[in-house]
Amino acid sequence: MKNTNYIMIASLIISVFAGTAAQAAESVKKDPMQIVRGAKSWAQSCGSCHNIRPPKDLTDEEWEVSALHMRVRANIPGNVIRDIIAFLQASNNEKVKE
Amino acid sequence: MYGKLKKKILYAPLFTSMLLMSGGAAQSQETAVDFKNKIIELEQRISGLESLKQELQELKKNLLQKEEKVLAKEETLVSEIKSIKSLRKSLSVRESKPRGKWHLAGYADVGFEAISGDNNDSFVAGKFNPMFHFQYEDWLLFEGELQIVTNEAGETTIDVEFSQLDFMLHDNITLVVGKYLSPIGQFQERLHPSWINRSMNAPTGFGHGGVQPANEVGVMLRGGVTLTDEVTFRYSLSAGNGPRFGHDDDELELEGIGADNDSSKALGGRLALVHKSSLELGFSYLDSGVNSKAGLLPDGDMALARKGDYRLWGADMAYTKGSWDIRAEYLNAKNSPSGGTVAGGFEEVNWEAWYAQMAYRLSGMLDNPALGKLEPVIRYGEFRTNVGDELQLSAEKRWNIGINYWLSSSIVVKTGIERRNYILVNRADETRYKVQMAYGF
Ligand code: HEC
Repeated sequence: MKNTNYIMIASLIISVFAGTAAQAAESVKKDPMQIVRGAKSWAQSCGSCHNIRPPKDLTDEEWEVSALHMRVRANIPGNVIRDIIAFLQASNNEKVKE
Repeated sequence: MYGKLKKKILYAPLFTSMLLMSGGAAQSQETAVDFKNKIIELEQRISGLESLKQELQELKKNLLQKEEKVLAKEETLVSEIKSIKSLRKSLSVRESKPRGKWHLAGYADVGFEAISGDNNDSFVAGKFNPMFHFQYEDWLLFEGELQIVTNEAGETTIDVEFSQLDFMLHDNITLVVGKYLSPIGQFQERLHPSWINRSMNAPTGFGHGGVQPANEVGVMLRGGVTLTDEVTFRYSLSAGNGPRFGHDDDELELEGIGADNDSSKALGGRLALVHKSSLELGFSYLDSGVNSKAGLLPDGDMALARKGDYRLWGADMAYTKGSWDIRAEYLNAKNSPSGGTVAGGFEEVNWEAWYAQMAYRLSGMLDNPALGKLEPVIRYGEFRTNVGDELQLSAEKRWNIGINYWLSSSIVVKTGIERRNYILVNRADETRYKVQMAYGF
Protein backbone atom coordinates (compact mmCIF):
# COMPACT_ATOMS: atom_id res chain seq x y z
CA MET A 1 0.00 0.00 0.00
CA LYS A 2 2.81 2.35 0.99
CA ASN A 3 4.53 1.39 -2.20
CA THR A 4 1.55 2.16 -4.43
CA ASN A 5 1.04 5.54 -2.81
CA TYR A 6 4.66 6.37 -3.41
CA ILE A 7 4.38 5.34 -7.03
CA MET A 8 1.19 7.36 -7.50
CA ILE A 9 2.82 10.47 -6.11
CA ALA A 10 6.01 9.91 -8.05
CA SER A 11 4.10 9.43 -11.27
CA LEU A 12 2.06 12.55 -10.65
CA ILE A 13 5.23 14.55 -10.17
CA ILE A 14 6.76 12.96 -13.22
CA SER A 15 3.67 13.64 -15.29
CA VAL A 16 3.82 17.30 -14.31
CA PHE A 17 7.52 17.71 -14.97
CA ALA A 18 8.06 15.29 -17.79
CA GLY A 19 8.78 17.77 -20.49
CA THR A 20 11.65 16.39 -22.46
CA ALA A 21 10.16 13.62 -24.51
CA ALA A 22 8.09 15.25 -27.19
CA GLN A 23 6.05 12.16 -27.64
CA ALA A 24 5.40 11.64 -23.96
CA ALA A 25 4.57 15.31 -23.60
CA GLU A 26 2.15 15.06 -26.47
CA SER A 27 0.35 12.09 -25.04
CA VAL A 28 0.34 13.72 -21.61
CA LYS A 29 -1.45 16.67 -23.15
CA LYS A 30 -3.95 14.40 -24.81
CA ASP A 31 -4.53 12.18 -21.80
CA PRO A 32 -2.97 13.54 -18.62
CA MET A 33 -4.02 10.53 -16.56
CA GLN A 34 -2.29 8.02 -18.83
CA ILE A 35 1.00 8.13 -16.95
CA VAL A 36 -0.73 7.72 -13.61
CA ARG A 37 -2.66 4.71 -14.91
CA GLY A 38 0.57 3.39 -16.43
CA ALA A 39 2.46 3.69 -13.13
CA LYS A 40 -0.26 1.78 -11.35
CA SER A 41 -0.40 -0.99 -13.95
CA TRP A 42 3.39 -1.21 -14.06
CA ALA A 43 3.53 -1.66 -10.29
CA GLN A 44 0.74 -4.19 -10.40
CA SER A 45 1.52 -6.34 -13.43
CA CYS A 46 5.23 -6.04 -14.22
CA GLY A 47 6.59 -7.74 -11.14
CA SER A 48 4.57 -10.92 -11.09
CA CYS A 49 7.03 -13.12 -12.99
CA HIS A 50 10.40 -11.43 -12.56
CA ASN A 51 11.63 -8.52 -10.47
CA ILE A 52 10.05 -5.33 -11.64
CA ARG A 53 12.31 -3.69 -14.23
CA PRO A 54 12.92 -0.01 -13.54
CA PRO A 55 12.30 2.59 -16.28
CA LYS A 56 16.00 3.38 -16.60
CA ASP A 57 16.86 -0.20 -17.62
CA LEU A 58 16.01 0.52 -21.25
CA THR A 59 15.79 3.39 -23.71
CA ASP A 60 12.43 4.77 -24.86
CA GLU A 61 12.55 2.81 -28.08
CA GLU A 62 13.65 -0.41 -26.40
CA TRP A 63 10.74 -0.08 -23.98
CA GLU A 64 8.33 0.02 -26.91
CA VAL A 65 9.66 -3.27 -28.26
CA SER A 66 10.13 -4.94 -24.90
CA ALA A 67 6.72 -3.93 -23.60
CA LEU A 68 5.13 -5.31 -26.75
CA HIS A 69 7.04 -8.52 -26.09
CA MET A 70 5.62 -8.54 -22.56
CA ARG A 71 2.13 -7.82 -23.86
CA VAL A 72 2.35 -11.12 -25.72
CA ARG A 73 4.24 -13.11 -23.10
CA ALA A 74 2.14 -12.00 -20.13
CA ASN A 75 -1.24 -11.62 -21.87
CA ILE A 76 -1.59 -7.99 -20.83
CA PRO A 77 -4.31 -6.01 -22.69
CA GLY A 78 -2.99 -3.59 -25.35
CA ASN A 79 -4.44 -0.46 -23.76
CA VAL A 80 -2.76 -1.30 -20.44
CA ILE A 81 0.57 -1.79 -22.22
CA ARG A 82 0.28 1.60 -23.93
CA ASP A 83 -0.25 3.23 -20.52
CA ILE A 84 2.77 1.37 -19.13
CA ILE A 85 4.94 2.44 -22.09
CA ALA A 86 3.89 6.08 -21.55
CA PHE A 87 4.85 5.82 -17.88
CA LEU A 88 8.18 4.09 -18.55
CA GLN A 89 9.15 6.61 -21.23
CA ALA A 90 8.12 9.61 -19.17
CA SER A 91 10.07 8.34 -16.16
CA ASN A 92 12.99 7.46 -18.36
CA ASN A 93 13.19 11.06 -19.49
CA GLU A 94 12.89 12.64 -16.13
CA LYS A 95 15.73 15.16 -15.89
CA VAL A 96 17.07 15.76 -12.43
CA LYS A 97 18.91 19.05 -11.88
CA GLU A 98 22.08 18.59 -9.92
CA MET B 1 -9.95 75.80 -48.10
CA TYR B 2 -9.35 75.75 -44.40
CA GLY B 3 -6.90 78.70 -44.78
CA LYS B 4 -9.39 80.81 -46.61
CA LEU B 5 -12.02 80.26 -43.97
CA LYS B 6 -9.51 81.20 -41.31
CA LYS B 7 -8.76 84.49 -43.14
CA LYS B 8 -12.44 85.32 -43.40
CA ILE B 9 -12.93 84.70 -39.72
CA LEU B 10 -10.02 86.96 -38.89
CA TYR B 11 -11.18 89.77 -41.20
CA ALA B 12 -14.80 89.63 -40.10
CA PRO B 13 -14.44 91.53 -36.79
CA LEU B 14 -12.27 94.10 -38.58
CA PHE B 15 -14.90 94.93 -41.18
CA THR B 16 -17.76 95.00 -38.71
CA SER B 17 -15.89 97.37 -36.47
CA MET B 18 -15.07 99.50 -39.52
CA LEU B 19 -18.73 99.58 -40.50
CA LEU B 20 -19.77 100.52 -37.02
CA MET B 21 -17.27 103.25 -36.87
CA SER B 22 -18.01 104.68 -40.31
CA GLY B 23 -21.39 105.63 -38.84
CA GLY B 24 -19.77 108.43 -36.83
CA ALA B 25 -19.20 111.67 -38.73
CA ALA B 26 -16.34 112.97 -36.70
CA GLN B 27 -13.43 110.68 -36.34
CA SER B 28 -10.37 111.61 -34.48
CA GLN B 29 -6.83 111.30 -35.77
CA GLU B 30 -6.05 108.95 -32.85
CA THR B 31 -8.59 106.34 -33.83
CA ALA B 32 -7.22 106.26 -37.40
CA VAL B 33 -3.76 105.57 -36.04
CA ASP B 34 -5.17 102.89 -33.79
CA PHE B 35 -6.81 101.29 -36.75
CA LYS B 36 -3.64 101.28 -38.71
CA ASN B 37 -1.75 99.72 -35.87
CA LYS B 38 -4.41 97.07 -35.39
CA ILE B 39 -4.33 96.24 -39.09
CA ILE B 40 -0.55 95.92 -38.98
CA GLU B 41 -0.81 93.71 -35.92
CA LEU B 42 -3.42 91.55 -37.59
CA GLU B 43 -1.35 91.28 -40.76
CA GLN B 44 1.59 90.14 -38.67
CA ARG B 45 -0.55 87.52 -37.04
CA ILE B 46 -1.79 86.35 -40.40
CA SER B 47 1.70 85.97 -41.76
CA GLY B 48 2.64 84.04 -38.58
CA LEU B 49 -0.25 81.70 -39.19
CA GLU B 50 0.84 81.31 -42.81
CA SER B 51 4.30 80.20 -41.74
CA LEU B 52 2.77 77.77 -39.21
CA LYS B 53 0.67 76.36 -42.00
CA GLN B 54 3.77 75.84 -44.11
CA GLU B 55 5.51 74.13 -41.25
CA LEU B 56 2.56 71.83 -40.77
CA GLN B 57 2.55 70.95 -44.43
CA GLU B 58 6.22 70.14 -44.33
CA LEU B 59 5.73 67.95 -41.29
CA LYS B 60 2.94 66.14 -43.05
CA LYS B 61 5.15 65.58 -46.06
CA ASN B 62 7.94 64.26 -43.89
CA LEU B 63 5.54 61.92 -42.15
CA LEU B 64 4.29 60.56 -45.43
CA GLN B 65 7.83 59.99 -46.63
CA LYS B 66 8.70 58.18 -43.44
CA GLU B 67 5.60 56.08 -43.70
CA GLU B 68 6.59 55.08 -47.19
CA LYS B 69 10.06 54.15 -46.03
CA VAL B 70 8.66 52.03 -43.20
CA LEU B 71 6.32 50.29 -45.60
CA ALA B 72 9.17 49.53 -47.96
CA LYS B 73 11.23 48.17 -45.07
CA GLU B 74 8.35 46.06 -43.91
CA GLU B 75 8.03 44.57 -47.36
CA THR B 76 11.70 43.65 -47.55
CA LEU B 77 11.47 42.11 -44.08
CA VAL B 78 8.49 39.99 -45.06
CA SER B 79 10.23 38.76 -48.16
CA GLU B 80 13.40 38.05 -46.17
CA ILE B 81 11.47 36.06 -43.61
CA LYS B 82 9.86 34.12 -46.41
CA SER B 83 13.20 33.28 -47.98
CA ILE B 84 14.65 32.24 -44.59
CA LYS B 85 11.68 29.96 -44.02
CA SER B 86 12.14 28.26 -47.37
CA LEU B 87 15.88 28.00 -46.75
CA ARG B 88 15.22 26.34 -43.40
CA LYS B 89 12.88 23.94 -45.08
CA SER B 90 15.43 23.01 -47.69
CA LEU B 91 18.24 22.63 -45.14
CA SER B 92 16.47 20.85 -42.30
CA VAL B 93 15.94 17.09 -42.27
CA ARG B 94 12.60 16.02 -40.93
CA GLU B 95 13.07 13.46 -38.23
CA SER B 96 10.78 10.64 -39.14
CA LYS B 97 9.74 7.77 -36.90
CA PRO B 98 11.04 4.59 -38.47
CA ARG B 99 8.45 1.87 -38.99
CA GLY B 100 10.69 -0.83 -37.64
CA LYS B 101 12.40 -1.09 -34.28
CA TRP B 102 14.48 -3.83 -32.76
CA HIS B 103 15.83 -4.92 -29.44
CA LEU B 104 18.49 -7.41 -28.54
CA ALA B 105 17.91 -9.15 -25.23
CA GLY B 106 18.43 -12.52 -23.61
CA TYR B 107 20.26 -14.06 -20.69
CA ALA B 108 23.31 -16.01 -19.69
CA ASP B 109 24.39 -17.95 -16.66
CA VAL B 110 27.56 -19.50 -15.30
CA GLY B 111 27.97 -21.74 -12.30
CA PHE B 112 29.62 -24.39 -10.24
CA GLU B 113 28.17 -27.66 -9.03
CA ALA B 114 29.47 -30.26 -6.57
CA ILE B 115 27.59 -33.53 -6.38
CA SER B 116 27.82 -35.98 -3.48
CA GLY B 117 29.09 -39.49 -4.14
CA ASP B 118 31.30 -40.51 -7.01
CA ASN B 119 30.52 -37.59 -9.25
CA ASN B 120 33.09 -34.89 -9.88
CA ASP B 121 32.67 -31.28 -9.01
CA SER B 122 32.46 -29.13 -12.07
CA PHE B 123 32.23 -25.64 -13.34
CA VAL B 124 29.11 -25.29 -15.37
CA ALA B 125 29.41 -23.13 -18.46
CA GLY B 126 25.70 -22.64 -18.25
CA LYS B 127 23.65 -21.20 -20.97
CA PHE B 128 23.82 -18.29 -23.32
CA ASN B 129 20.41 -17.44 -24.70
CA PRO B 130 20.41 -14.50 -27.10
CA MET B 131 16.98 -13.19 -27.95
CA PHE B 132 15.97 -11.00 -30.86
CA HIS B 133 12.92 -8.78 -31.14
CA PHE B 134 11.93 -6.97 -34.30
CA GLN B 135 8.85 -4.82 -34.25
CA TYR B 136 7.04 -3.46 -37.30
CA GLU B 137 4.79 -0.49 -36.48
CA ASP B 138 2.58 -1.53 -33.61
CA TRP B 139 0.99 -4.67 -35.00
CA LEU B 140 3.79 -7.12 -35.70
CA LEU B 141 6.56 -8.53 -33.54
CA PHE B 142 9.10 -11.19 -34.34
CA GLU B 143 10.64 -12.93 -31.34
CA GLY B 144 13.39 -15.44 -31.60
CA GLU B 145 15.57 -17.05 -28.95
CA LEU B 146 18.47 -19.43 -29.35
CA GLN B 147 19.85 -21.60 -26.61
CA ILE B 148 23.57 -22.16 -26.81
CA VAL B 149 24.90 -24.71 -24.34
CA THR B 150 28.15 -26.54 -23.88
CA ASN B 151 27.34 -30.04 -22.69
CA GLU B 152 29.27 -32.46 -20.51
CA ALA B 153 31.02 -33.95 -23.55
CA GLY B 154 32.36 -30.53 -24.48
CA GLU B 155 30.07 -30.11 -27.47
CA THR B 156 28.23 -26.91 -28.06
CA THR B 157 24.63 -27.28 -29.07
CA ILE B 158 22.35 -24.62 -30.47
CA ASP B 159 18.60 -24.97 -30.18
CA VAL B 160 15.83 -22.70 -31.29
CA GLU B 161 13.86 -22.06 -28.11
CA PHE B 162 11.28 -20.09 -30.01
CA SER B 163 10.94 -18.33 -33.32
CA GLN B 164 7.55 -16.79 -33.70
CA LEU B 165 5.57 -14.01 -35.31
CA ASP B 166 3.08 -12.18 -33.09
CA PHE B 167 0.22 -10.31 -34.74
CA MET B 168 -1.56 -7.81 -32.48
CA LEU B 169 -5.04 -8.32 -33.92
CA HIS B 170 -6.84 -6.45 -31.17
CA ASP B 171 -6.06 -5.05 -27.72
CA ASN B 172 -7.26 -8.35 -26.30
CA ILE B 173 -6.19 -10.81 -29.02
CA THR B 174 -2.73 -11.69 -30.31
CA LEU B 175 -2.15 -14.34 -32.95
CA VAL B 176 1.12 -16.25 -32.58
CA VAL B 177 2.51 -18.37 -35.42
CA GLY B 178 5.69 -20.43 -35.42
CA LYS B 179 7.65 -22.24 -32.75
CA TYR B 180 6.77 -20.98 -29.32
CA LEU B 181 7.27 -21.92 -25.69
CA SER B 182 4.47 -24.15 -24.48
CA PRO B 183 1.86 -22.01 -22.72
CA ILE B 184 1.05 -24.92 -20.39
CA GLY B 185 1.59 -24.12 -16.72
CA GLN B 186 3.62 -21.28 -15.31
CA PHE B 187 7.18 -22.58 -15.07
CA GLN B 188 7.98 -23.34 -18.67
CA GLU B 189 6.80 -20.17 -20.32
CA ARG B 190 7.53 -17.61 -17.64
CA LEU B 191 9.97 -18.81 -15.04
CA HIS B 192 12.60 -20.91 -16.77
CA PRO B 193 15.08 -18.12 -17.72
CA SER B 194 17.80 -18.28 -15.08
CA TRP B 195 17.53 -14.58 -14.14
CA ILE B 196 13.84 -15.13 -13.39
CA ASN B 197 13.98 -18.56 -11.78
CA ARG B 198 14.48 -18.04 -8.04
CA SER B 199 16.08 -21.46 -7.78
CA MET B 200 18.91 -22.86 -9.88
CA ASN B 201 17.10 -25.36 -12.04
CA ALA B 202 13.68 -26.53 -13.04
CA PRO B 203 11.59 -28.26 -10.39
CA THR B 204 11.70 -32.02 -10.76
CA GLY B 205 9.43 -33.13 -13.57
CA PHE B 206 9.19 -29.63 -15.04
CA GLY B 207 12.39 -29.67 -17.07
CA HIS B 208 13.73 -31.91 -19.79
CA GLY B 209 12.25 -35.40 -19.60
CA GLY B 210 9.40 -34.21 -17.42
CA VAL B 211 5.66 -33.97 -17.77
CA GLN B 212 5.61 -30.66 -19.49
CA PRO B 213 5.93 -30.00 -23.21
CA ALA B 214 8.75 -27.48 -23.70
CA ASN B 215 7.70 -25.87 -26.95
CA GLU B 216 5.13 -26.25 -29.64
CA VAL B 217 5.00 -25.61 -33.36
CA GLY B 218 1.66 -24.26 -34.48
CA VAL B 219 -0.66 -21.34 -33.96
CA MET B 220 -1.83 -19.75 -30.76
CA LEU B 221 -4.40 -17.11 -29.84
CA ARG B 222 -3.70 -15.29 -26.64
CA GLY B 223 -4.45 -12.13 -24.73
CA GLY B 224 -5.82 -10.50 -21.64
CA VAL B 225 -9.18 -8.95 -20.83
CA THR B 226 -9.79 -6.57 -17.94
CA LEU B 227 -12.95 -7.99 -16.35
CA THR B 228 -13.34 -5.59 -13.43
CA ASP B 229 -11.12 -3.08 -11.64
CA GLU B 230 -9.82 -5.99 -9.62
CA VAL B 231 -9.66 -8.96 -11.96
CA THR B 232 -8.01 -9.65 -15.31
CA PHE B 233 -8.62 -12.75 -17.37
CA ARG B 234 -5.71 -14.18 -19.35
CA TYR B 235 -5.82 -16.89 -21.99
CA SER B 236 -3.48 -18.80 -24.33
CA LEU B 237 -5.07 -21.28 -26.73
CA SER B 238 -2.76 -23.32 -28.89
CA ALA B 239 -3.15 -25.75 -31.80
CA GLY B 240 0.11 -27.45 -32.71
CA ASN B 241 1.87 -30.55 -33.90
CA GLY B 242 1.98 -31.94 -30.38
CA PRO B 243 4.20 -34.53 -28.76
CA ARG B 244 5.68 -37.61 -30.38
CA PHE B 245 6.80 -40.99 -29.09
CA GLY B 246 10.40 -41.13 -28.01
CA HIS B 247 12.63 -44.14 -27.63
CA ASP B 248 10.86 -45.60 -24.62
CA ASP B 249 7.16 -45.51 -23.93
CA ASP B 250 7.58 -43.14 -21.01
CA GLU B 251 9.78 -40.82 -23.05
CA LEU B 252 7.61 -38.58 -25.13
CA GLU B 253 9.36 -36.05 -27.28
CA LEU B 254 7.86 -32.89 -25.95
CA GLU B 255 10.06 -30.38 -27.63
CA GLY B 256 8.14 -28.65 -30.39
CA ILE B 257 8.46 -30.77 -33.47
CA GLY B 258 8.69 -29.21 -36.92
CA ALA B 259 6.36 -31.66 -38.66
CA ASP B 260 3.38 -33.60 -37.48
CA ASN B 261 3.56 -37.34 -37.99
CA ASP B 262 -0.15 -37.67 -37.41
CA SER B 263 -2.98 -35.45 -38.49
CA SER B 264 -4.38 -35.09 -34.98
CA LYS B 265 -3.33 -31.73 -33.69
CA ALA B 266 -2.50 -30.94 -30.09
CA LEU B 267 -5.14 -28.60 -28.73
CA GLY B 268 -4.67 -26.91 -25.41
CA GLY B 269 -3.63 -23.91 -23.46
CA ARG B 270 -3.96 -22.08 -20.21
CA LEU B 271 -6.67 -19.91 -18.70
CA ALA B 272 -5.94 -17.70 -15.72
CA LEU B 273 -7.50 -15.14 -13.42
CA VAL B 274 -5.29 -12.45 -11.95
CA HIS B 275 -6.47 -10.48 -8.94
CA LYS B 276 -5.01 -7.06 -8.25
CA SER B 277 -3.73 -8.30 -4.91
CA SER B 278 -1.08 -10.09 -7.06
CA LEU B 279 -2.73 -13.47 -6.79
CA GLU B 280 -2.91 -15.51 -9.98
CA LEU B 281 -4.68 -18.82 -10.53
CA GLY B 282 -4.20 -20.77 -13.74
CA PHE B 283 -5.58 -23.90 -15.30
CA SER B 284 -3.95 -25.77 -18.19
CA TYR B 285 -5.12 -28.48 -20.54
CA LEU B 286 -3.67 -30.30 -23.54
CA ASP B 287 -5.12 -33.05 -25.68
CA SER B 288 -3.34 -34.73 -28.54
CA GLY B 289 -3.05 -37.91 -30.52
CA VAL B 290 0.40 -39.53 -30.64
CA ASN B 291 1.30 -42.13 -33.22
CA SER B 292 4.39 -43.89 -34.42
CA LYS B 293 4.94 -46.43 -37.12
CA ALA B 294 6.66 -49.76 -36.53
CA GLY B 295 10.27 -49.77 -37.52
CA LEU B 296 13.89 -49.74 -36.66
CA LEU B 297 15.04 -47.00 -34.30
CA PRO B 298 18.35 -45.22 -34.99
CA ASP B 299 20.09 -47.32 -32.30
CA GLY B 300 18.96 -50.57 -33.87
CA ASP B 301 16.07 -51.34 -31.50
CA MET B 302 12.79 -52.48 -32.96
CA ALA B 303 9.72 -50.46 -32.20
CA LEU B 304 6.11 -51.52 -32.67
CA ALA B 305 3.48 -49.30 -34.17
CA ARG B 306 2.00 -47.22 -31.37
CA LYS B 307 -1.16 -45.16 -31.22
CA GLY B 308 -2.05 -43.18 -28.15
CA ASP B 309 -4.22 -40.44 -26.69
CA TYR B 310 -2.21 -37.95 -24.72
CA ARG B 311 -4.01 -35.80 -22.20
CA LEU B 312 -2.54 -33.31 -19.74
CA TRP B 313 -4.08 -31.06 -17.18
CA GLY B 314 -2.55 -28.77 -14.62
CA ALA B 315 -3.20 -26.02 -12.13
CA ASP B 316 -0.90 -23.29 -10.90
CA MET B 317 -0.94 -20.41 -8.45
CA ALA B 318 1.30 -17.45 -7.76
CA TYR B 319 1.27 -14.80 -5.10
CA THR B 320 3.84 -12.09 -5.77
CA LYS B 321 3.00 -9.14 -3.58
CA GLY B 322 5.88 -6.95 -2.45
CA SER B 323 8.84 -9.00 -1.28
CA TRP B 324 7.00 -12.31 -1.47
CA ASP B 325 7.23 -14.74 -4.33
CA ILE B 326 5.11 -17.79 -3.60
CA ARG B 327 4.27 -20.32 -6.27
CA ALA B 328 2.85 -23.78 -6.64
CA GLU B 329 2.06 -25.88 -9.65
CA TYR B 330 0.69 -29.31 -10.43
CA LEU B 331 0.80 -31.19 -13.73
CA ASN B 332 -0.71 -34.53 -14.59
CA ALA B 333 -0.36 -36.24 -17.96
CA LYS B 334 -1.48 -39.55 -19.29
CA ASN B 335 -0.77 -41.35 -22.55
CA SER B 336 -3.30 -44.13 -23.02
CA PRO B 337 -3.15 -46.62 -25.88
CA SER B 338 -6.00 -45.96 -28.31
CA GLY B 339 -8.38 -48.90 -28.30
CA GLY B 340 -6.57 -50.70 -25.46
CA THR B 341 -3.04 -51.95 -24.87
CA VAL B 342 -3.03 -54.46 -27.70
CA ALA B 343 -4.38 -52.11 -30.36
CA GLY B 344 -2.36 -49.16 -29.08
CA GLY B 345 0.85 -51.13 -28.88
CA PHE B 346 2.00 -49.93 -25.45
CA GLU B 347 1.05 -49.76 -21.81
CA GLU B 348 -0.55 -46.68 -20.35
CA VAL B 349 1.94 -44.10 -19.05
CA ASN B 350 1.18 -41.62 -16.28
CA TRP B 351 3.25 -38.61 -15.33
CA GLU B 352 2.68 -36.47 -12.30
CA ALA B 353 4.71 -33.57 -10.96
CA TRP B 354 4.20 -30.73 -8.53
CA TYR B 355 6.20 -28.19 -6.57
CA ALA B 356 5.67 -25.41 -4.08
CA GLN B 357 8.17 -22.61 -3.72
CA MET B 358 8.57 -19.60 -1.48
CA ALA B 359 11.05 -16.74 -1.70
CA TYR B 360 11.25 -13.59 0.36
CA ARG B 361 13.39 -10.57 -0.42
CA LEU B 362 14.79 -9.20 2.83
CA SER B 363 14.40 -5.58 1.68
CA GLY B 364 10.79 -6.11 2.75
CA MET B 365 11.79 -6.02 6.40
CA LEU B 366 15.36 -4.66 6.56
CA ASP B 367 16.52 -1.15 5.79
CA ASN B 368 20.13 -2.19 5.37
CA PRO B 369 20.76 -1.91 1.61
CA ALA B 370 23.24 -4.81 1.46
CA LEU B 371 21.12 -7.24 3.47
CA GLY B 372 18.04 -6.10 1.56
CA LYS B 373 19.51 -7.67 -1.57
CA LEU B 374 19.37 -11.12 -0.03
CA GLU B 375 16.53 -13.48 -0.80
CA PRO B 376 16.14 -16.85 0.91
CA VAL B 377 14.27 -19.39 -1.17
CA ILE B 378 12.88 -22.84 -0.46
CA ARG B 379 11.26 -25.28 -2.87
CA TYR B 380 9.89 -28.77 -2.55
CA GLY B 381 8.75 -30.90 -5.47
CA GLU B 382 7.81 -34.44 -6.43
CA PHE B 383 7.84 -36.29 -9.72
CA ARG B 384 6.49 -39.71 -10.60
CA THR B 385 6.22 -41.64 -13.83
CA ASN B 386 4.33 -44.92 -14.03
CA VAL B 387 4.30 -47.30 -16.96
CA GLY B 388 1.27 -49.44 -16.28
CA ASP B 389 1.53 -49.87 -12.51
CA GLU B 390 5.28 -49.73 -12.41
CA LEU B 391 6.97 -46.70 -10.91
CA GLN B 392 9.95 -45.56 -12.95
CA LEU B 393 13.50 -44.83 -11.79
CA SER B 394 13.07 -41.11 -12.24
CA ALA B 395 10.53 -40.91 -9.39
CA GLU B 396 11.90 -38.33 -7.00
CA LYS B 397 11.28 -36.01 -4.08
CA ARG B 398 13.45 -32.91 -4.23
CA TRP B 399 14.31 -30.16 -1.77
CA ASN B 400 16.03 -26.94 -2.79
CA ILE B 401 17.17 -24.43 -0.23
CA GLY B 402 19.11 -21.38 -1.25
CA ILE B 403 20.04 -17.77 -0.83
CA ASN B 404 20.02 -15.33 -3.71
CA TYR B 405 21.88 -12.04 -3.81
CA TRP B 406 20.34 -9.56 -6.25
CA LEU B 407 22.90 -7.17 -7.77
CA SER B 408 20.21 -5.54 -9.87
CA SER B 409 16.69 -6.42 -10.89
CA SER B 410 18.04 -8.91 -13.43
CA ILE B 411 21.51 -9.86 -12.16
CA VAL B 412 21.66 -12.44 -9.41
CA VAL B 413 24.11 -14.71 -7.63
CA LYS B 414 22.38 -17.83 -6.30
CA THR B 415 23.78 -20.35 -3.87
CA GLY B 416 21.97 -23.41 -2.72
CA ILE B 417 21.75 -27.02 -1.72
CA GLU B 418 19.63 -29.55 -3.56
CA ARG B 419 18.62 -32.84 -2.03
CA ARG B 420 17.29 -35.50 -4.39
CA ASN B 421 15.53 -38.40 -2.71
CA TYR B 422 14.83 -41.01 -5.33
CA ILE B 423 11.74 -42.92 -4.41
CA LEU B 424 12.91 -46.32 -5.67
CA VAL B 425 15.40 -47.77 -3.24
CA ASN B 426 17.74 -49.03 -5.94
CA ARG B 427 18.71 -45.49 -6.90
CA ALA B 428 21.07 -43.64 -4.55
CA ASP B 429 20.04 -40.26 -3.21
CA GLU B 430 22.10 -37.20 -4.11
CA THR B 431 23.03 -33.91 -2.56
CA ARG B 432 24.17 -31.13 -4.83
CA TYR B 433 25.87 -27.87 -3.81
CA LYS B 434 25.51 -25.14 -6.33
CA VAL B 435 26.46 -21.58 -7.17
CA GLN B 436 25.06 -19.80 -10.17
CA MET B 437 25.25 -16.30 -11.49
CA ALA B 438 22.61 -15.21 -13.98
CA TYR B 439 22.25 -12.04 -15.97
CA GLY B 440 19.14 -11.08 -17.92
CA PHE B 441 19.73 -8.31 -20.43
C1 HEC C 1 3.89 -13.63 -17.37
C2 HEC C 1 5.14 -13.29 -16.77
C3 HEC C 1 5.70 -11.90 -17.06
C4 HEC C 1 5.13 -10.69 -16.78
C5 HEC C 1 3.80 -10.43 -16.12
C6 HEC C 1 6.06 -9.70 -17.25
N1 HEC C 1 7.18 -10.29 -17.77
FE1 HEC C 1 8.81 -9.36 -18.48
N2 HEC C 1 9.64 -11.15 -18.99
C7 HEC C 1 9.06 -12.38 -18.77
C8 HEC C 1 9.90 -13.41 -19.31
C9 HEC C 1 9.63 -14.91 -19.28
C10 HEC C 1 11.02 -12.76 -19.85
C11 HEC C 1 12.23 -13.38 -20.54
C12 HEC C 1 11.97 -13.64 -21.95
C13 HEC C 1 12.80 -14.75 -22.42
O1 HEC C 1 13.98 -14.82 -22.06
O2 HEC C 1 12.29 -15.56 -23.18
C14 HEC C 1 10.83 -11.34 -19.62
C15 HEC C 1 11.72 -10.37 -20.02
C16 HEC C 1 11.58 -9.02 -19.75
C17 HEC C 1 12.57 -8.02 -20.06
C18 HEC C 1 13.91 -8.26 -20.72
C19 HEC C 1 13.88 -7.88 -22.16
C20 HEC C 1 12.90 -8.65 -22.98
O3 HEC C 1 12.08 -8.01 -23.66
O4 HEC C 1 12.93 -9.88 -22.96
C21 HEC C 1 12.04 -6.81 -19.68
C22 HEC C 1 12.69 -5.45 -19.82
C23 HEC C 1 10.73 -7.07 -19.12
N3 HEC C 1 10.49 -8.43 -19.16
C24 HEC C 1 9.87 -6.09 -18.65
C25 HEC C 1 8.56 -6.34 -18.26
C26 HEC C 1 7.55 -5.31 -18.06
C27 HEC C 1 7.77 -3.83 -18.23
C28 HEC C 1 6.43 -5.95 -17.67
C29 HEC C 1 5.07 -5.33 -17.42
C30 HEC C 1 4.41 -4.83 -18.56
C31 HEC C 1 6.72 -7.37 -17.62
N4 HEC C 1 8.00 -7.57 -18.01
C32 HEC C 1 5.82 -8.34 -17.22
C33 HEC C 1 7.88 -12.63 -18.12
C34 HEC C 1 6.99 -11.65 -17.68
